[in-house]
Amino acid sequence: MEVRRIEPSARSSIWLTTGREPPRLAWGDEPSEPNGPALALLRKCIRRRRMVRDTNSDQLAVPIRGPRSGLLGVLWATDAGPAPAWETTLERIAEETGFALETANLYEHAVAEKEKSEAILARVGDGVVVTGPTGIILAWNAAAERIVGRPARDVVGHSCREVLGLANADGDLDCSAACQLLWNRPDDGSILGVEVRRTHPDGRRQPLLADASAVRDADGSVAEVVHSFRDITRLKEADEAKTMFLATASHELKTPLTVIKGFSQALMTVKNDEGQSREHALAAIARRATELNKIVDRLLLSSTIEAGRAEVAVAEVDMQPILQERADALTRSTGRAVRLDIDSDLPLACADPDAVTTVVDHLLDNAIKYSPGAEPVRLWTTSDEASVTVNVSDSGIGMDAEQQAHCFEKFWQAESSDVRRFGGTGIGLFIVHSLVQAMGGAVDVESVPGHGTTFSIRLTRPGVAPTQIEPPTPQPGVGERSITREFMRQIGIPARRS
Amino acid sequence: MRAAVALANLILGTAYTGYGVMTLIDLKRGWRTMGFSHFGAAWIAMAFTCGPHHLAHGIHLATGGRSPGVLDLVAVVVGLPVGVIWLLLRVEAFAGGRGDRFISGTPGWLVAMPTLAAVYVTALLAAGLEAGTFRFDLPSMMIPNLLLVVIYATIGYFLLRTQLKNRPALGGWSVSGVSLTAVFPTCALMHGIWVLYAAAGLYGFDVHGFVIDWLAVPSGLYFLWVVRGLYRDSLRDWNQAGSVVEPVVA
Repeated sequence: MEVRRIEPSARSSIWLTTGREPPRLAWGDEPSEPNGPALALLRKCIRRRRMVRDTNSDQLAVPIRGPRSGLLGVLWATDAGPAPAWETTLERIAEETGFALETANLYEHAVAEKEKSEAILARVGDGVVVTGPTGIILAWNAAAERIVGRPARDVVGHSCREVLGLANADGDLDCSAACQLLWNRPDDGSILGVEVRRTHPDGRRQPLLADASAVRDADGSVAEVVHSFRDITRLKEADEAKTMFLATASHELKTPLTVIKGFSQALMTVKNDEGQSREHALAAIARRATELNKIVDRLLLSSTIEAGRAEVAVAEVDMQPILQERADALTRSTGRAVRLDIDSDLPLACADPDAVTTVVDHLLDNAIKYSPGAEPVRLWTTSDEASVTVNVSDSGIGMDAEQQAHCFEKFWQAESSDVRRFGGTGIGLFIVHSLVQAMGGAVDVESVPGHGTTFSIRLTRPGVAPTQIEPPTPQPGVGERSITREFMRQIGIPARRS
Repeated sequence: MRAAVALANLILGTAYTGYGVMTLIDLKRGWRTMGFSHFGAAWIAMAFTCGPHHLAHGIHLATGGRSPGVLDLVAVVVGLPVGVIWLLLRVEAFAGGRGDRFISGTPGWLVAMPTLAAVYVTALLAAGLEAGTFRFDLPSMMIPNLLLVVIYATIGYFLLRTQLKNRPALGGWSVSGVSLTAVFPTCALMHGIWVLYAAAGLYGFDVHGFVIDWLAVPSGLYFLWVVRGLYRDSLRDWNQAGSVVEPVVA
């Protein structure tokens, strides 16, 4: 509690005290404090809620009341003298003080609440935009800055339509007369938001889940509209990826099944078929069944990884025979050449041989799938003090920077027709990434559209903690095929997103 | 010595012209997917002036009666290995190979390289200044060569800066980067020696050199302008087609 002397004088002192604690002196040359009788007087005043006078000690106590808060403190006057005018004056002072104190308390409370609201608004993950009834932006939180990419100072005072430019499936939302989001919102709050989109200046479309609610005046008219929106780009991408995965996986499963069904029906119906045709049919069935098995294995492994049940048994492994064997197996099964460049003194790596086999198979499959014609796939290794790196390069269609950034995501596949025609379930690289990480390694991709792709997996050497290795970079020992881009790389031209 | 310098210049000229041809093919290959590259065009312009400069010099030495200085031999012999290494790496990459090698850590010979380079440059310049009485009576040939010293040294500086910046992340050095970094200062030195010998009266006017060197100046300036534009992101080029110096790590 704080005490202020509001009128020091030679003869009398008037102190303002709030609450029940003994007052502290703010300033003055008469540091008297309420003693025993004075404290009794103050308590009496507080109890009775009215002015109390002690004629023996010539002291006076007047309650200070706020218009809404009740008792806020007590005015204590010493050497008050007998004059009745004092009492009236003190009562007036107490009344004014009560009003001032309540106002100050309310202001302090309002400031604290405002700071709290601003802190909450700044930390909330959703973009929050407050507009007036005509759509002029009044407030714009940090998440809105992040989602829309414009700071509050640039947008406050501008119209919502101009800044956000939202559109739904029917076209642009015209918020000039009234907020369309508010208009479409059911009163029962049964819908948590509507899907809208905004178009960036560069033409990129950003899907948003938006909602709006009105803050009304006492007369029921809309005073402000609070909009909230969430960037659902990732959710949409995941949704699209799942849809694409279902379509692709169905297609991938259907193709071998159709062949198996066709040949088995043929075997059943044609009784006296020649031995050669029968063998041909059985071979086709076996081949397609193997394919089917591979796809199902891949799906199962993916779901095991996602459920966190995939386990790897890391040991010190000589990579050379594994890589040699996988390259030979690929050549046998597909007829495609694999150019091996494995260091003869390649050190041991910390890895799970089965996981390495799966990873290398996936990478080689991938390289074959996206490489045209007879272009050889390269499998080569590098090593340093901390790690062993296995690289798989192809001369295929390549990926741009955006595709490289997403290629390890589950169900991700590039959308262009060039890539879609290669088929696949979109989980191979997800499996590669997950298994390499589980072995304490790191994986990276380097690609040039039209020129090919190199995937690199880096595994730790024995005695090196996984945290001591960094993701493989394309630079060490691996040059760029393009002489122009190699020069750009060596002169330090920064990569830009187109 | 005449034959050695002539041969070295002919090899170097062929190598640099080879860069130009390879870049031309590269530019044609990438045009469809990545569009026109100012960087590639500028590099072609430089290669097609630098290469012919050495070829013309070699031919003049071999057939025109031009007398080589010993410093000319030293400069070209020092520049030759790094130029050839870079060319071979690029040829390897072109054929689908690695196109680079990695030097793990910093071996002693690489640590000693700045000191050796400083000693070499100082010795070369000191020996050059001993070459005779200097006269500035061949400005049409000397000025472009002086400008080329500055341009090539600047490009070499950019390359060196990148190699030093990349080293901590890589834990070593890229042979491709180191050799390319060495190419440009040695080129600058060769042109510097050429100026010294021209000033000393060893090399006279020749119309081929005159034309080629004056063409090399705008080529070099064009290259520097492109590099500046790419650093400032005011120019669209092949660095927008994916990672050039920053690996994309998933």
